[in-house]
Amino acid sequence: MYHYIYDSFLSDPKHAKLLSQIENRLTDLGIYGNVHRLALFKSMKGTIQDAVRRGAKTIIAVGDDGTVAKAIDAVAEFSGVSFGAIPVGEKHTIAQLLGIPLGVEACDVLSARLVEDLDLGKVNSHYFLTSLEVPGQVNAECDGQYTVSPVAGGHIRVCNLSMGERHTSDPRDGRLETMVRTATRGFFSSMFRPALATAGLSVFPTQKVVIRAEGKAQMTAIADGQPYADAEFRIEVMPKRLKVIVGKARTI
Amino acid sequence: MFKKDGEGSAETIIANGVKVEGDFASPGNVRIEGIVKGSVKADGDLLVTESAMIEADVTAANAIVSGEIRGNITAHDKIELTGTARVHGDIMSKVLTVAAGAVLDGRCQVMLEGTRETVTTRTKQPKAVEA
Repeated sequence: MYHYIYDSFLSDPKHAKLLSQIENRLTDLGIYGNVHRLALFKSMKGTIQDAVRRGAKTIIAVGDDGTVAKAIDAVAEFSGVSFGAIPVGEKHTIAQLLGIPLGVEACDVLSARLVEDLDLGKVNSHYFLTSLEVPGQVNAECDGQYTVSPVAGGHIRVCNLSMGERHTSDPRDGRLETMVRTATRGFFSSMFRPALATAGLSVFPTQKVVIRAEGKAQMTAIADGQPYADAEFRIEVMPKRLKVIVGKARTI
Repeated sequence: MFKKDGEGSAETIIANGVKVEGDFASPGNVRIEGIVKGSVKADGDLLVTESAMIEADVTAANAIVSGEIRGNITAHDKIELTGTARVHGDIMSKVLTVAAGAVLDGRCQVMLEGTRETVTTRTKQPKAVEA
């Protein structure tokens, strides 16, 4: 049985027509199931826990990147539950990486049910699929063996699934890529043409990373677009943690 | 082996402006442009660019050095010191090439192919090697 989790912003009447089309298509394909609508006092985590307790084997998040990120964080707690998404709304980068098209067309991808076992990143007690970013002067201890720190500022990003212009992270390789981006500026470029300053990108394949900020009681990390605040972030790869329904147009 | 620009095949990149401290090990190719203190071990090839400053013993399959290394270098196959290399430490490999202008302060131990025999030379003081 498929369980569909509708994000709260979908209660806006402007989405009603699209949701109706999606529901019709799901019915045609024979994969329509239980619908759970999130609201002010109905959280993603609680809803998914209830659905799994009632025997849900497939959870589909309907909404944008924020919906998908929160749903992944909740579904990852359970083994044997598959996850899919129907992207509706403004931002849908995660669905794009998974090869899931927007709106009604996503229903056909779900029906084809091409499932991949993907790694997840775990930061403190939360899970993420794509990447985690910590801005500011921080350092990263990689695999308990060495410490990486930008000399004059930069930011650290830990990637599980990403498509960059210079580096790609594959969520099936059992590792994370810790990336440090630093700005290297020459005198003329920094004085007159700051836009020309080139950024250096360091890449470290790792399995465990601890990010700390010296002299700061708390810092903020953004994982899958969700902000988390803590004194330090312990990040590790969880190999093949989540069964994800992907499309043929996936980037991995 | 690495091409001299090396970036495309490197799994690990330590860019300029980044400092690494500790025992750094990589199962693949490594490109170092920044600062490293501790030890470096690469199962693949190692490229040390001109901006790099390494205070560590270094082990790799092959190494191309254009920057500064204060420590011993061991390569299973080949070490290439380019004209901008500054090495303060011992070098050991099967094949060693040194370009004009490279600075080498240490012993060079070249392992002869198929034998356990080695040829050792020692530079008495830091100086630029002439081709």
